[in-house]
Amino acid sequence: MINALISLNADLASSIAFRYSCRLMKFVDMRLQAMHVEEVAKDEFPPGSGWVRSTWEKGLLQAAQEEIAQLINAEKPHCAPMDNTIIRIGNREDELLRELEENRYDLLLEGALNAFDAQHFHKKIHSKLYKYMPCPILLIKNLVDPSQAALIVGDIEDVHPLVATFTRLFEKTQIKLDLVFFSDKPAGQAEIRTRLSEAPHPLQQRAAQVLDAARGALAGHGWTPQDSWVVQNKPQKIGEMLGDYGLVGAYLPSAASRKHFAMDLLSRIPTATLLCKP
Amino acid sequence: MKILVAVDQYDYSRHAVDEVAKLAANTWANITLFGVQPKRAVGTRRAAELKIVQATDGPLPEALFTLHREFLSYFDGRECPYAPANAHEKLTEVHKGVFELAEGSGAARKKLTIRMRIGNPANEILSEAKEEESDLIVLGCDHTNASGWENAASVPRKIAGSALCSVLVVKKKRDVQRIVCCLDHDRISQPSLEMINQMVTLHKAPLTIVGLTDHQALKTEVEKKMDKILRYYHARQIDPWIELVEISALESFIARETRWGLLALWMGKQSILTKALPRSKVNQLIKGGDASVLILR
Amino acid sequence: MTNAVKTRILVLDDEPIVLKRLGPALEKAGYFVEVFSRGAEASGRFQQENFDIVITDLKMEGLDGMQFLTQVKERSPRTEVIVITGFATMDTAKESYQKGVFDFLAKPFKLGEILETVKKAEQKIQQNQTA
Repeated sequence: MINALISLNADLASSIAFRYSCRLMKFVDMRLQAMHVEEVAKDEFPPGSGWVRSTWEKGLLQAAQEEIAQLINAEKPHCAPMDNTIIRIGNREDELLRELEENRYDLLLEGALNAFDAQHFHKKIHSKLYKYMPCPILLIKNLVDPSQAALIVGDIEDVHPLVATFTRLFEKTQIKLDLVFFSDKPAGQAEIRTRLSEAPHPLQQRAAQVLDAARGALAGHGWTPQDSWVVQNKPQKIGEMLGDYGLVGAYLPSAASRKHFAMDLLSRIPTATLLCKP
Repeated sequence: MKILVAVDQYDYSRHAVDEVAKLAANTWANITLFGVQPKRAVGTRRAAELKIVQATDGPLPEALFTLHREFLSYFDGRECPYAPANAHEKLTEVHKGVFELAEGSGAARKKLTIRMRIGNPANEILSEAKEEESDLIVLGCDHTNASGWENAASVPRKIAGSALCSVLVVKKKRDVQRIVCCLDHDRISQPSLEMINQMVTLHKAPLTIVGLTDHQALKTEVEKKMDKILRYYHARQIDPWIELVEISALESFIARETRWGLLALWMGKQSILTKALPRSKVNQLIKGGDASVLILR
Repeated sequence: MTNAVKTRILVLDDEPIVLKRLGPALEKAGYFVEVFSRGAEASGRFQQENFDIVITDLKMEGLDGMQFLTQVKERSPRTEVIVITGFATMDTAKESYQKGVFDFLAKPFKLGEILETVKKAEQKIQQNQTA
């Protein structure tokens, strides 16, 4: 069973993330713990640590609890019952990291609205939470059907961390899986979206090396992908193509600057993206 | 649903009629194929008589008859809700300055009216839509030539800018791969949602709902509206994508999104789009690109 | 006019905004109107009471309007049914007519259009009664 933590705020991104999680729970055995961190600027805290402060904190926590309960209750007919939401006051990233480490979660889920401006995504990726996360993150940008997944690989070094994480999380599920090898489209070259067997040379050899490794790794965990695809295009177009899937697994490179193309692609995927670190 | 198809005698009007035929096959809407004969100087004693002669002859009436036949041919071999074409194709004056083709014989479930007026094309189209309480005006345009009409260049832009109902400007024959709708945070009317639904059904295309934000200023308001729309669609087993766009990036966003084939914009009176996209920009949008544009009201 | 002589109309649509618009407009036009947003309730009511005209949506959350239309025609073939739908297809239009609907209206429509349709349906009912 996946032990998952979902970060919720009283906003649309969280509402979508929560609804997606409820859908995902129909496919995977997952225990979902909701958590909300009420962020308060330092200068808003009342001074001292006595009754005034404790009453202020209680009021704040209660208000937050009610807001999140409202969001969760709205989905009650479509979602399995959940434990009480964890509500904390403080810095969101610090509190999430603390909770993830203390209670050894397998997965963090959070929502982020799909935005035309990729800067929002890059900011998130470079945040403290993403830098120090002790588990993979499922970033949910749209409410989609998670029954069809794709693992995207651009390099041989993506394969093992990605496959290991994906198979550990989603073992014994009914999710259908494709493999997708992605590559940038050099100027003057054609856009390619084809099955591996139909890909042109020398792209086919390059893709085969990576996809065969991924197939082999998946087979070791009892997974057989439905199809293997090769796409050569600009990040925007590949991202749109990946929108056909309800779950996209990707390796999140630690040295982001070295893999500019991969990062750009991740920012353009409009669906739910499982970000796996080494 | 009542659809007013504003046509002239040029090829782009055929594309518009083709598009309407597909929509009519689904919706069985009441259709008016409508042409406007520009006014000409008639300064003789028998002015009224001459006017009728001019009105019912020439390329426009011919085009109306042809488009009528082409529209009906779409239903060939299928159950057709409209009366067949009358063998005797002649426009007759039914009211002052209003000419109609007599309906063909045979039982018809829905109305297909062939009508022509004399006057200024844009004004007459707008008046006709108002009088007939049309739900949608459809018109084609020449996308290779600033998306205008051949003899009255500004007609599509005037109609899109001033009509009280929704307007579909058809640019060229192409598949719609995705319908991108820019949300108006001001007011989303039920008829506009229904119009989108018919387009989604017609094209079997996925839907993207775009929310416009102005840094943090509109975020909460826009999110509430988007949430409402998402829930509306999820209840109907449709999962639209949503996307947030900063108002400052709207033009580049639209330029990118026209490739999908159909761009819909909610443009009410208080619309943020009206502010973000002043009339000149809407004109540019209709002028530029080959995607069809649906203005929702 | 009393309810007994008024034409009785049942309206079923899962969108409250549609009911809010249609119900009062039909009442104002002199009809006796009952509106429902849930299929089960509408179906139950139709089993209890006779309605001259039924206006129903096709695609509703948790209910197939086509099934309701079939039920209506089976129980009361004289009831005239007007289908209103926001997701019209050629097949649903044809199927509706095959099942004997009086008219098929795609949304959006103006109130005038549906009032005109209801009026025609009412005339047909009156003609059938005098025939």
